[in-house]
Amino acid sequence: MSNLLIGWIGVGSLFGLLAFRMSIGTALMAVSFVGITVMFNLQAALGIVSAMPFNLIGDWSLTAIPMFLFMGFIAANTGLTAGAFDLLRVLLARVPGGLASASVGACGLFAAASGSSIATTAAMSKIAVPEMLRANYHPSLATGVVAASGTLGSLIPPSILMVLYGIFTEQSIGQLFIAGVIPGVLSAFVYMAMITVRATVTPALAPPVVERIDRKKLLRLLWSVWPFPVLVLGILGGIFGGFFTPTEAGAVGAFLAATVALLRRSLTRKALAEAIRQTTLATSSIFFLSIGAVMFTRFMGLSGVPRALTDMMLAVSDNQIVIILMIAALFIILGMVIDSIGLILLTLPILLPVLEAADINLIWFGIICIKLLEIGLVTPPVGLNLYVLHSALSGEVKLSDIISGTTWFIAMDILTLFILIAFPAISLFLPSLMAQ
Amino acid sequence: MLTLFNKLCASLMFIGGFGVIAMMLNIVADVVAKLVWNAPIQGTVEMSSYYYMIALVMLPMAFVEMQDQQISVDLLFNHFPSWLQKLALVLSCLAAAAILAVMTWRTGLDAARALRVGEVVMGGREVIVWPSRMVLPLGFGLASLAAFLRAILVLRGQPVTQSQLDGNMS
Repeated sequence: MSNLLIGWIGVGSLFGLLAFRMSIGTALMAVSFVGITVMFNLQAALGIVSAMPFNLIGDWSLTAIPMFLFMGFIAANTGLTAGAFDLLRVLLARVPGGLASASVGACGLFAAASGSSIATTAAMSKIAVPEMLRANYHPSLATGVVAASGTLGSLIPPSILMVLYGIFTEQSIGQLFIAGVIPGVLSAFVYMAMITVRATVTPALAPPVVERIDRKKLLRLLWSVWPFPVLVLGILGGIFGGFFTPTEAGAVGAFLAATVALLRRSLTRKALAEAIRQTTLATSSIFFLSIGAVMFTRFMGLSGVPRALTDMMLAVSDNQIVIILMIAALFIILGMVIDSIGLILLTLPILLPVLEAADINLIWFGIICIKLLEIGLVTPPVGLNLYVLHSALSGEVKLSDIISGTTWFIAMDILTLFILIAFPAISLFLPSLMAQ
Repeated sequence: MLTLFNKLCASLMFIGGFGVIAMMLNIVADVVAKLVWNAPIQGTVEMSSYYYMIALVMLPMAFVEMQDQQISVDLLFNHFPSWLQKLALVLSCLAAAAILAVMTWRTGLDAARALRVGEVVMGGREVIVWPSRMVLPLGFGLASLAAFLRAILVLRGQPVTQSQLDGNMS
């Protein structure tokens, strides 16, 4: 049997094992281990295990992951960003569908403190959805907007997915973070524009809200919200100007978030313990998966599958756009059944050589890749955000309503995706200005 | 016996949780020292990478396994008949136990080598790393045991998946 054939059988059995509900990390490890044993011998397979896990966990750049997770979980558990929604609600009261647009904005702000889409959705669903339902917004709009805007968590820095992408493609994590800023803001504005148009055309979707705006209330809200944007700008500015590495930015961000929460007396022992518990569990499972992904990368490299795939794709076309569209189709299909962290670690070992051979800018592709993974987060049957939202609302809104509510947002995501593909400068302009 | 094991896993996770706080405080102190006095705290990178991170990732691993928190794909599984679900769970758990046992063995050898030579890394200052190498076989070993226990639990008809565990709690 040729190594290439063993490689393809490995890829096939990997999906078989996943269907059997083996954890993605275990499946990657098992397939790679057996595959390398069959191709060479047991000694070779054992050889890739010894020092690798220690070196991977001890990679300084990866320490950014727990720090950003911690920052996000602190913000979520202490209600740090609750005020942002109130402020935007008041500011956008006169705009059709204002509450929904306020949710988009609040998600975007929260995303800037949180490295994960799931955390963003979970936090905002409890704040924004009940408010919209009370104002007689259509349940599918009220939930769809939060499910979709929650995905801004991965695109707007910090972002756990970007850290993983940066490590596996050897790109600067700081540059990826900064590259995500404009596409993230663009996505939010595209959502808001769509909401405003739809609410104007069909007012029943989002009945106007009567809100008296007095200056005192506005000032009070501004006062309660200000620490947060300052925190975010400080961290991003620090990365942009080269004062902080992403890991340092994460640690400082988590520390400042905890300090602000402490000053507001919302950092209870329970909230802190919960944030630590969530951070620990998430970090441990992400690294378990990453150890599997490193083994799979070696297995794939030895088997020659990525090279064969590269030749196949380049035979179809060597046009960058065509290749990106092919990869996009693959991600959207796989994104329906595999969650985002699993998907990125599963596919990069195979796709990276294709991207390199076609000379595709890896920062630009990183942003496109994150956007694709986000679409996967809201497409059923495995759209984690849908379930997070459903369970956060304790079944108050039907899952089918949530799913139908995201349809318009997915359409907007695809529009944004085309814009990002057509104009690489949207992603690459800010990183090009960065201090090296 | 099972309760004892669960308690052990939970306390190890708790210790791992200290890694988060320690790492945050150490890095913040380093950043402040660097910006204010231009005098970074020597060894911050090494301590974070080789101690806090190792503790944070490896110590909770058995707990993650016991709580079924590893990332997996439920889609087809949810439509399996119950005998097939049981079979899939037992096989997955045994496979996890086996591969984790291999990891335990190999990282154990690596730790023994590190101990023998009294391994250190040279960064800002010399940091001893052989003790943290030992945490890997500990974490993988307990996780392997946890996976094996889960296989037995499935065979005895006890709840092991996240949804079952959640259902039991509420």
